Amino acid sequence: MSSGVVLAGLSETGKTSYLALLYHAIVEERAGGIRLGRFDDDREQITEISDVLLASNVAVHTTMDDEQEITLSLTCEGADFALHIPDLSGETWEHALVDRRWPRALDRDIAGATGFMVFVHCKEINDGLTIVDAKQAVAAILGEDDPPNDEGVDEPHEEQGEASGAAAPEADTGDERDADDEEKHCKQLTQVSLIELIQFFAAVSPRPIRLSLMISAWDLEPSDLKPKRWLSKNAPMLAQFLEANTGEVEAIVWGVSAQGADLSDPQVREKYKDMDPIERARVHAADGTEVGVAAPLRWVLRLDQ
Amino acid sequence: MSDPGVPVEPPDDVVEAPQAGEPAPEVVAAPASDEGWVGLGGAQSLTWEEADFVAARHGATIVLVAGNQESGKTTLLLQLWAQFLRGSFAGYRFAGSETLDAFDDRHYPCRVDSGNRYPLTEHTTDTDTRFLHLCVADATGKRQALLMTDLWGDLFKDIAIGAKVAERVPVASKADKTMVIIDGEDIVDHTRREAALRNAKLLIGAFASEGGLRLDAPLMLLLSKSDVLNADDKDWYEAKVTNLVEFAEASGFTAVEKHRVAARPPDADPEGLEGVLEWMCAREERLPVIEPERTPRSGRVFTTGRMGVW
Repeated sequence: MSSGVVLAGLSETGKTSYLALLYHAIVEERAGGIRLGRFDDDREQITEISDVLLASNVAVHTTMDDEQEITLSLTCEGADFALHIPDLSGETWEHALVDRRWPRALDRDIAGATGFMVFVHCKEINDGLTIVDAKQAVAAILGEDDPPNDEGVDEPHEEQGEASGAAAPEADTGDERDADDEEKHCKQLTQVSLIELIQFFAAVSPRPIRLSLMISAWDLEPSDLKPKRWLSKNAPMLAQFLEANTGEVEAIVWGVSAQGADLSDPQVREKYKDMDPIERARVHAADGTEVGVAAPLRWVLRLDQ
Repeated sequence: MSDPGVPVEPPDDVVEAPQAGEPAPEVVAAPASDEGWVGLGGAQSLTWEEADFVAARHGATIVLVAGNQESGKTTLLLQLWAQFLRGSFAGYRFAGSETLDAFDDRHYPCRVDSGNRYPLTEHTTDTDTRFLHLCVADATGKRQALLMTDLWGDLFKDIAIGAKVAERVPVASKADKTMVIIDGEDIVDHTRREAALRNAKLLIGAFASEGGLRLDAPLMLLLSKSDVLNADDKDWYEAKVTNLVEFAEASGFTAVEKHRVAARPPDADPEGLEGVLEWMCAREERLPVIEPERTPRSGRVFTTGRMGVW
């Protein structure tokens, strides 16, 4: 039996770190019953990224240049299966969002996937603060009845046009696309990007999809915050989308800290370097309950049923 | 591998095709592959035929949004979508969109990171029929898809001065609901307000004529930018719009309403959007019908409800 799992998310959202942790837990037979089924798979790439984690280093960012499919032969509770992870690179998904297309091979992998793990960094959120919201916030801080305004400048109302006479910057016109990938990607709201990816997966998959939404760097959040609460607070449109599409997308949100702490800080790294990586890692279910590091994988593979 | 950001020609087996009536999108370098690509869509508003594809499979309410250039049509649609960025709205949850990136892209000039000092909305410049798609779900989970036209304002100006509705806005006869937008900025300008209401009347009259709207399709007369009106302006408008409603009913429309909205006041929260969404989502017995003009197949993937590739 082959079980494909797609790990998706923008760049530096923790996909590689989690995979390194998961692999180590599987090899150590501490992955909730999931063990290596064979020892003759090509495991060069995953071993390398796992080595980084074991050395208490910050995980290497996976680029499209070193993008590589990973296949692991696994066994769980008497059932053998091959776990196929088609792609780790965040740029692949950014290209999908900017260019509005993905490779046909990836399309086939997505169509055949058993489950999806979509990553978002808990602190790297473009929430799209509006100009009106910002003005209101400033006014509230200053205790003013009226929000601050630029004296002597007419405020354009509604649509920009020749008749507005406003000294305002040019807005984009028509349906034209931005040529600059980076700029275009940075413009898109994080929750919009995630909804887009999930919509694409659901569109391509011939059956309802099972998805673990992985909120990474969870150690940076208050210990009493529940992942479900984080979602409704930081990505309310995504939360609505998941609630409204339970027939198409079966999803659970998890808080994940694969490294357990910010290992880019030398002092933190010194403190944690001798700690067992699996003990150091933290995975929390939607209600805040701490669970095993493989719980999100078990969920998408339906191993808990 | 190609240098990202450098425009390149797509491989021969790319399945995307330019949308009819608009220039081909610029192709930006993507990961090299010998196996080709699958187009995902969503960055642009829907063509008529794409909208038909969506409506035919899952049903949708076709909402014709009519009004002059700069009257606030696009801002209204954008702000309806943007309310869901903060949470559920008017008893509805966001359930998906085939034009999610198109909404997001149009919303960008309203955001701080755009660098703009004031929120802006780009003009709609497409002269062909385009739609924005928004799917919502009510408290019971029942889904409602809206296909809202995003049309060039000058098309309606042409109709007001005598052009045939069927020629300028051929989708009109298929619309399940229609909003005629009256620009609040015209109402506060005493040199323009009489003409604005005259033009609205002419538009309604044209819509009621042969080749126009279905007379049993709900019609809303919507005052936009209502935040700019003072009390006197509101009194004046109220008297005039009542006459317009009576005119619309006398012309044969069976379900006429008036409403006002401040979709994006410069310094305050929107007002009146709930009523607009509720009116759009109110169930009608008729099935939506769109008969599209043939346009080239795009190969894009549609996302709402696993509809596959068209």
